[in-house]
Amino acid sequence: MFYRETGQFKTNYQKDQQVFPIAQDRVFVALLLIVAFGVVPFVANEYWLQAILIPFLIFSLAAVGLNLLTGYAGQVSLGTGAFMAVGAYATYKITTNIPEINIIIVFLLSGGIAALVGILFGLPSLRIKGFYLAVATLAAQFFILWLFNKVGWFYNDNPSGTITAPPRTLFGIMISGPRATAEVRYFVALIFLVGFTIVAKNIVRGRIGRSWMAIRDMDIAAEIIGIEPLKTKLMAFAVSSFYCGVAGALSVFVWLGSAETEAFDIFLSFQILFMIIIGGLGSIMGSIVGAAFITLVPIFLTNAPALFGLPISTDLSKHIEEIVFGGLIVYLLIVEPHGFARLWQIGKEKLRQWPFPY
Amino acid sequence: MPLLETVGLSKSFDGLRAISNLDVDIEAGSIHGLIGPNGSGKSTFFNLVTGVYQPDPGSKIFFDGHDITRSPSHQIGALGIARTFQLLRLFSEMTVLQNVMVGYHTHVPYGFLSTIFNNSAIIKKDAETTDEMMELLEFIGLADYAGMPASELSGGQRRLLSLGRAMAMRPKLLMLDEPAAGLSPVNVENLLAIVMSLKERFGLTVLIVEHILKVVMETCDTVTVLDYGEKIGEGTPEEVKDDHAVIEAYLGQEMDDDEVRATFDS
Repeated sequence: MFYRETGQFKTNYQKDQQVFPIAQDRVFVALLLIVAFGVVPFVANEYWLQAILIPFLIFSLAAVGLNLLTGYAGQVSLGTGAFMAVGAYATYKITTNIPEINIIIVFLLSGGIAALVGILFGLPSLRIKGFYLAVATLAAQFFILWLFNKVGWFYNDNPSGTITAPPRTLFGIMISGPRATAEVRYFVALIFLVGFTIVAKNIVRGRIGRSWMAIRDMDIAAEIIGIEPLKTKLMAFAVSSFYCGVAGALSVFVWLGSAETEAFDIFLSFQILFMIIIGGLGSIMGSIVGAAFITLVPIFLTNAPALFGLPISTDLSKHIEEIVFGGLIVYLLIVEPHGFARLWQIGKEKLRQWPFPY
Repeated sequence: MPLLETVGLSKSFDGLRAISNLDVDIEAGSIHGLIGPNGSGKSTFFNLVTGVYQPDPGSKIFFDGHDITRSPSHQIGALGIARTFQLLRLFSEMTVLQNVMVGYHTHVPYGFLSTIFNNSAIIKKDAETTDEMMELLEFIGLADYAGMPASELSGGQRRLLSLGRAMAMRPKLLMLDEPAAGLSPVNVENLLAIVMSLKERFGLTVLIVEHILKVVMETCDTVTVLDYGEKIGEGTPEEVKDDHAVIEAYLGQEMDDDEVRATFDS
């Protein structure tokens, strides 16, 4: 009854193509941002920020990136973890060798390097599609991690083989390294996510997004219409890898503090892929909801027995968590194969008609 | 000078000649029909012209003064050849409006950086494109469905949309691959009326491949008949209708009574 377009007239197509055409949506998103920026960091404690919220923000960024490639351009990739590793290792190399460059710029440069690597491993997509392409991107996953493990140059030949975030400041505030506070690191991750989500939204509702979707839906027709498959697919790989690269850099420099290649293994790639499948392929908001589901639900499940005062040992509750979580994913995909984004859309339709569905 | 000209066009698949030594001229402003029995090479001809297949050496295809024999599909599209597909091949997950907006792509040049920052020039350009595309949808009668995914349209509407998508490219030559297949007679009339009015409005040249001979006979200025990849007849619909070779290809060889008896007795 309160959620509908009644009275909100659009006088031209410019207004019709706004990101959120319905005023209530704009209010909702604005409230969400106010809470994320103004309330959460002052209410949440160190554990919440470090163990739950920061990883959620970073995984959301990676999921948005992968959704651009898989959901919009239709190219399945299992190399997400590797592209994130490229971003992380590139940031490490650049900032340890040239500490003068502002760390934010280094993050973006590293995203650029990840984009180039993404283009390289995207080349097979011109010839192979679907599952076969997924297998080809696995090559990226294994090769890149092997390279970072094997060649000491990538981790400055330090004996532990890990990369560690050095202390770096922005406007005099410590944002990376052991002395950076969780609140500041939360803000950095949040600003990156919000900024890049807006950019992603602009890309997908414009000409580039349409050419990606055209390639996804029917590549032969798209080509005859004048869309160059080579350029379009490689651009999707580049943009997606850029997002993943920045997310990887953030995961080491504002979340973990130090990491080895194991932090970016195939399970991470699968995890991000699950996020976009559960959230909804071809939906920016869905990527973020999916990331929330995959990161938050296991934590809730682990803590649930203790919360309800059930005397269950930790290892048992961990097993229960895995069973319940797996079951939930299967259930969700049966109920709505198109993910949360579609559920949300259906909910909105219902809300629009409520309480008079006829 | 013809708008589209093929010289010695040939294509073989592993030794099977799908098209052999075909010379076809399509005059600007005409409606040209291409007919022939199943497997006579009509669709192969379409795919050769639009760059889906590469023709055999020695073939030449000219369009509007350009040699497009070896050009990739997307360049051929940009030069002004649009086509529809027998199986439509719409962008099924995209909305009706997005489908035609993709068709208009080659006419809206703007770069990657300006898209990211979504500056006002882009927003304005996109709104202009939308205006123009809505007008086109109005023209083909799909404006009411602009926000609907293409997969939710009815069969007839999909056929219209595939026509609209091709028209959004603002082509000089429109190639229709069996536009009337699976349509009821009323819808066929409707579709032909739309094609004719589009032709008048935009000064199009149209090439139609069609099985329903009535459609070809009523609309085309010139008809080319193919059989086994070769041209067996060409001319106005009337001339073609009376052509001995064409009747033979479609209805089989004319036999006299003795031959029939001989065939049955043996």
